[in-house]
Amino acid sequence: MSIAPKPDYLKMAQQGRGLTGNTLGYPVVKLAILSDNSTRQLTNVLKAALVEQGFFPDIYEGEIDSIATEVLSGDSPLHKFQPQFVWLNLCSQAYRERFYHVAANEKEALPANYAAEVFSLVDALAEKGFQIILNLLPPPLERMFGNYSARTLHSLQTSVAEVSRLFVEKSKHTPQCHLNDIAFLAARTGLENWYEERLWAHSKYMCAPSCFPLVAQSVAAIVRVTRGRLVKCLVLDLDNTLWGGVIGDDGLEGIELGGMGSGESFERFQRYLLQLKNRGLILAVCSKNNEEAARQPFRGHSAMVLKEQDIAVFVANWNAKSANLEHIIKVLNIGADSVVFVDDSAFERNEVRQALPAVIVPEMPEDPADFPAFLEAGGYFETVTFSDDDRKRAQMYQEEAQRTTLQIGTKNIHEYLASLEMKITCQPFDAQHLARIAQLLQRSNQFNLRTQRFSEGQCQDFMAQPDQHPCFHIKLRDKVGDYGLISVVCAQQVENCLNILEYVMSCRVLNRGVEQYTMTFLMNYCSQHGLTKINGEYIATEKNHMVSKFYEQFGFKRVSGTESRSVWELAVADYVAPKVFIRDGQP
Amino acid sequence: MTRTEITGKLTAVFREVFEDGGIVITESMTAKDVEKWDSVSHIDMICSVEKAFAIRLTTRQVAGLKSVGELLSLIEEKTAG
Repeated sequence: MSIAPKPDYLKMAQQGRGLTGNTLGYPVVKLAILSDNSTRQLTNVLKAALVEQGFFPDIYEGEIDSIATEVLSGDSPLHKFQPQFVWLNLCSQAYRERFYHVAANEKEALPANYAAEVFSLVDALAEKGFQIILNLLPPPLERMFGNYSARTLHSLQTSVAEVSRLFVEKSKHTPQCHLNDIAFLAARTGLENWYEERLWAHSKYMCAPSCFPLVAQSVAAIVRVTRGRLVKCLVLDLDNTLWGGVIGDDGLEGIELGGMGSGESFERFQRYLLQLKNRGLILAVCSKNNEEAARQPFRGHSAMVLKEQDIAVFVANWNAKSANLEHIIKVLNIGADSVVFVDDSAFERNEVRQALPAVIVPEMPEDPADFPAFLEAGGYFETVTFSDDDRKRAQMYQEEAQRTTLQIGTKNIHEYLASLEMKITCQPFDAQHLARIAQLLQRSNQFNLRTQRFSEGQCQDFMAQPDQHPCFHIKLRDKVGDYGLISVVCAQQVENCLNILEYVMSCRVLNRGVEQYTMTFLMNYCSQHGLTKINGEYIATEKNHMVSKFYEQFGFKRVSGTESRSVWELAVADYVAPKVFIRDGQP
Repeated sequence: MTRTEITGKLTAVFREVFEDGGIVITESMTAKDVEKWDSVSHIDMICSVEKAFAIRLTTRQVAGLKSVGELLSLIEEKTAG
């Protein structure tokens, strides 16, 4: 028995096959599959998996085994299709055939040759600006040398492991290349369940059809986070979720936490949550309890792993959980669809599902021993980058919650802003910050003027031409804490104009005067470089309405366009700098 | 399991896999008689049959199956004893 219910293959295949128009108006994902195994049914399952994530799939399926010709010939159907994503769907069985066909004295060099061949294609695709999804190959069942196999590349299993290791290594230098770790999925499922050699022989299926949903959902998760839809916050219940029993009834001595049995499971779950927090997920508490009782274990239980400072927002009262969740979402200023709500009670889960359908609410297993593996199987914690700012995020959000509380108590906004003692830096792109810059460009949905989603590679190109592409990253801190890198502007100089190609800002720093400061900075840049005009454009998405009047507020004139796409311009000489309460900081 | 019992269970599998609640299977029925029975859904049908009857067909049997009658006999044989 697996911990998480397996998605229904047949249902997904039928849904995918039956998919017709984009009736729900989902954002379209253009994805090309290049494969060394049959994708006839896998493609249908992938379509269903993308719909599950709120995307409408537009999929191009290359002919089996024509990967290199599709990539390398400029007028191939792949290039005509102009995909956003290219999935290199490689499998262990196809590699096995090559392994069997090379001579004994070439076996040891095969993994390196194969990986180099694959990455010449990856690099060619990356150059075109496509996002690449590359499988890590699952271990085959043939190992030829028994337990000695791990020590020789003459064993197929070791040869495949070496290929995966090289893929990982090489992908670190290609930010557009995302690894689809089906090797892990195969291991979790069990290799004997994963492989279906009859269907490889009969139809070139890379795994049992019952495993197609796992593969497809993994690809869809990568697409989701690459498109900026990440889980940011975990909202946790307390009683029977973080510890066993009810603190209000059982008291500090009575709850199950630490030691052996269920107490071990709850403690281990907390350790798992702490790792997620250190990774950059925000933890919040939402409990039906008296606040005093709810905080008691955090303060006084020796086996308690999570401390009050790990929790960005702590809500314990007798209101409906959905109302408290709304409060948490507002204080943290994040989207409801970036929140996972964890509660052992089916009643509470359903109440939240009904009131806040965008919030992700996993069905939880009965036994706390299964909590971590169950949440993992849900694939909620997918990400495409891991930067220093991720590590600090939880702390930043906690500080933000403090500020929000402060703000409620302050009458005069100017007084409040001045009291924050904000310091800002606007710096040209540099190598040190590229990962975070690209991450912000991928993640920002609301304060995002054109949603161009420039990749790390493209930012690197901009960085190499600072005169042609003046691009800046902006960092902010105040007396409460450091916000880190919170805004990015990408621009292009065309004759005597500065065209703003992209402008994003983290919503955490809204209403601070950061964008006003930045606009003045850009105008000064223009004056210093003999530029006389700034051109900007707003492209509407489902989420960026808040910046629809962005240019207007600075006195820009609309020169063309509609509600959903408008072009604006302002002469540098006509700009009036708004008052801000931010001072220049040290870079 | 009797052939009648097998026929009942197999009917349910056919209706689910080929997405047609009205399918009535007969001994002489082949892929030509069922709208959605193609080479791809054939594999889905075999997988569902294997799951429903807890049996395992060989590659040759997967490839060689021509009619519902043959399939019924195969299931009968594999589920016997």
